[in-house]
Amino acid sequence: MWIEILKKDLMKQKGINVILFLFITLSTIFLASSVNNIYLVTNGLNTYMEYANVSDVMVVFGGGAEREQFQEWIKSRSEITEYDCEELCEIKAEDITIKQADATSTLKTNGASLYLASIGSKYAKPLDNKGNELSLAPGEVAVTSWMMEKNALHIGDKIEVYISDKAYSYQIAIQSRDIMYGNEMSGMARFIFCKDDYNKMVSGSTNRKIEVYGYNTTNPKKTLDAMNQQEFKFLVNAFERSIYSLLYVFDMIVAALLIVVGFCLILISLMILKFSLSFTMEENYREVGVMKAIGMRNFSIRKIYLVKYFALVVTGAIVGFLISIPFGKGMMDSVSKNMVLGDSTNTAVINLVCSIVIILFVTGMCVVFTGKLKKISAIEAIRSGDSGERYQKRRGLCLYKRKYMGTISFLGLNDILCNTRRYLVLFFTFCISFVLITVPLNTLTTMESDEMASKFNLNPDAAIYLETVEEQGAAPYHNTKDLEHALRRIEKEMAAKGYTAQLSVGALCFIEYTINDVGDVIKPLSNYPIGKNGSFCEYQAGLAPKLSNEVAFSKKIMEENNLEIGDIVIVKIGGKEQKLIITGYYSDYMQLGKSARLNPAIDISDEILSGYWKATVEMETALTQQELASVLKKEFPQYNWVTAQEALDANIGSIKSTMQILQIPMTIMLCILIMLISLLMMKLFIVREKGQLAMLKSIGWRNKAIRLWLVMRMVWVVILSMIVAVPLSMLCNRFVLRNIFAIMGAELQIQVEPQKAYVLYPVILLVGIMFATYFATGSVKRISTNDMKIAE
Amino acid sequence: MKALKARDLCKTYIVNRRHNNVLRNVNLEIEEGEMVGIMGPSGSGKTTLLYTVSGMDTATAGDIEFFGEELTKLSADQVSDLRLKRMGFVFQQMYMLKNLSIYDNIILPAYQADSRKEQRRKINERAKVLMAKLGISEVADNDISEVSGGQLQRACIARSMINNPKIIFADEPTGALNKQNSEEVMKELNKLNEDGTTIMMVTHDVKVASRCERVFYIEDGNIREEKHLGKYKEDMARERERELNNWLMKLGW
Repeated sequence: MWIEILKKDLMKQKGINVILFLFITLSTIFLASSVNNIYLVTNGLNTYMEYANVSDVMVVFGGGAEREQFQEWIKSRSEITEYDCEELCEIKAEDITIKQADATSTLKTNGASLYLASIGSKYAKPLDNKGNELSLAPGEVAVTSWMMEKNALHIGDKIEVYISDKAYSYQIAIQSRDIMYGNEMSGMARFIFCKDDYNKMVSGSTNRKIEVYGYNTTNPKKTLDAMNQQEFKFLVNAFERSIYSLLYVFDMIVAALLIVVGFCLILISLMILKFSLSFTMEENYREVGVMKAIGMRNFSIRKIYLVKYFALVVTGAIVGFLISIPFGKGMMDSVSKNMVLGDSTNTAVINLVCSIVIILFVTGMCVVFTGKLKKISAIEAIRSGDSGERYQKRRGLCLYKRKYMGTISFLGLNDILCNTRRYLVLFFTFCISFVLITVPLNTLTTMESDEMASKFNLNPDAAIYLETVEEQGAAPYHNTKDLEHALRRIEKEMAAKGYTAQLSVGALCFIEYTINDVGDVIKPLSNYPIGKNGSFCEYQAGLAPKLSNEVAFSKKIMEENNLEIGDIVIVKIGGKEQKLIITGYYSDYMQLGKSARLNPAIDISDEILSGYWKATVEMETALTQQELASVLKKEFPQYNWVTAQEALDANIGSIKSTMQILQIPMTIMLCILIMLISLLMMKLFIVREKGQLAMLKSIGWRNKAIRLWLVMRMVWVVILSMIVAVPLSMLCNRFVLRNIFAIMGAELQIQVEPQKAYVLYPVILLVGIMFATYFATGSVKRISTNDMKIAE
Repeated sequence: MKALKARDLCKTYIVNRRHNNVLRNVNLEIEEGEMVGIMGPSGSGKTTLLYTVSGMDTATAGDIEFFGEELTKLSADQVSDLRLKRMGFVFQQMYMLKNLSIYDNIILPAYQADSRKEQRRKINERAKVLMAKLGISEVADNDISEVSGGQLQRACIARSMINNPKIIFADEPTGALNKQNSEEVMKELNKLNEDGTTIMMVTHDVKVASRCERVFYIEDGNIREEKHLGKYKEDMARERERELNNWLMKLGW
């Protein structure tokens, strides 16, 4: 019997049931895929580290000279539970040639160090995009994502490696996810081969080999301290697992955005679902009233609706569950090309749980709704839940008082004011969607801004930047003297060709500071300015250190260690201790916002540098950075001249491109979503207001006028929601986006392109919504005067 | 001049592949300024006839002339314009937009027909006159849920009159009203008719129909007979009612 009733009801109220079914399906898709993605993204880096098997400590040796000593030391440490060593062979960019179908080119590296490696490492394993270990046949090579993107490489392209006067040709077989070398931020990249190919190339070659040790320990800090005391000469770097959060910090922006999108989609879907449910259930009030009037028991009536909604929600949730798996996977794929965030198919149980939540939610609402049937009388139900009494004045406007407003515009606005609750869901949906669209847009604008460049210590007003200062073919410089000579050399070379320029650079090294009387020690990356004007930095308070007893710290270090301007710290350079006074603090992205700036007068010539930041070139020129770069590239092709923005892109370029790739589909997806919601909501309104629309038709309103009236309602909702959404978006910039960027260490002002964010995109949304609504109002044509009988 | 002329008017509904001929070759003519009633048993096609001749519904066959204009040859938009500007409608259920006040509901068709600013002042003046005439000035700013059925029906009449229509179509205008309110509404319709407005009205109520000049009796989708009662006079009300009653009884009503 229930199936018969159900069949009849589903056919009778086909329109409304289809809409409800679609909303249930949509809600399930968004809830399930969003919860799943939030789960995967929140655990993203940990999952990636797990897949790659990252050891507690990684140690890089610049050669094998101390191999035995180091291995002996490892074995002597009881807290080290296991270790492994991997050899990598250094190679210059000019020794790798790309051979694509139509052209041959050299490799673009953005100044990153390049290495050849083989598969089979135990720690920090390179993976494929699904998180599986690489498997390569002879003649095949795996290349990291950012390197492939930077050089427009594709699977199947060929590269040639020149080593020991021999050329080896390989075909790119895999785009690898390489946790240690697969991110531009690491400044390293590696080409991975099968063991035989690697040995064939490297054995007997004179190229420098580095040894990368990974070990697991029960006490990483204690082990590292003990290792530092050994004073291994060839130890280049040692770091703990936590360093990976530095490398992938910009990838986490995209991940954080996905979490924001996920939460918003959940909010929208639950809001829409609740509204459409109560709206459609109200539609049944009259019917319920009639059933009560003819003497049917409450429980019998409740059963009919419970069966109907249960059938609808189960069908919708099953369809939604099935779609949510590929949908969530699609969203995840776009998050990051650098990471393995896990496969959403493997977490289908989350989707299943979310689908069950939707079923329970809808059934629960139905139980609550039908529970109300006990309380209301038959006649109240027939009057659609209205007792006939009214205690509040209508909140609408007066037509005759609106001298300058057209009838259709007036009716649209008046409807919204009279039925605020009915339009609130749409209002919030449009608001949230708009904010969601502006968030990645403003993120991108910020990433491309001078503000961002300045937080990377790049002066947008400098004439030009130099990526590297080494002579062609020379090994990277690791002390300040070499760097200083290099700057002077380049200045001379430029002067010889008529360019008077002054070069400066920030040399980077880890230096130990004792920060208080208790003897607490920090060892941040310290920037040592070489050159007349040192390196660029904007100080938030105080001044740059100039005298030999001055130093500045980043705001994060100051706050974490309760330091203030004027405090004294003790620095240990070349085994000697010196007292330094803090002269100021700043906020930038170096080392997640934890760095120091030394004065130019101090002598650190004996320290081994970790590297150096882009060399600033200052000169009198009327050319822009872009123009000057192309001029200097012709004059001095041996150097890599870059603009501040290009230098910035070298660090966050891949994230920016991911964001760019993500932004358009995300905007399109949100537009389609709100268009779909607008369309379905309008269909719902038309079903409910059929009687009124029929009446207007009967008194001579054209179809076009009625459709315009309905569209105008939506236009007003969009306008009102945009009025709220714009300041909301600004608040979001201030309190959400700024905090996301702050995770990476620097406080920066979120940049907005007002015409784009507050004019172009709202207009796109408006046009999309108008189009969807107009399409939905097509059914007005089919409303006849007979429909007046079902006036609300 | 003929206000309305229908020739061989047919209306067929197809329900579940079954043809239901609601109107079968109906012929009728209504003079300008006439007040005509349509009576007949339930399901005889009264309302369908009203809706079809007013252009609210399309005819399956036949011709309709509205003040010399061929209604069946007009486009849907032209028919809508005709209904908006030259026809008025009063329904049994007092359909109004619930989000508007009584006053705004009345002026809405006029604002829609002509929304020029200078015209709006005239519309407002006309609405006030009409409301005063119909005795509903005091409820102008009320919501539709705040007035009685009689007041609401008079507001519907005011709305139907706002564009100075040539004809008013009324479908059971007193069907949902009590005796006193029915009287009030009919008085207003008679006054409008006296002022020259043509009225075509469907009713079940003999008393209401007796106020018409002519009454058509429709049965099985066709006009069986018509009764000419002449212009309505208040003092002859009882006689007219009795005469109509006798005629209807003769027809087996």
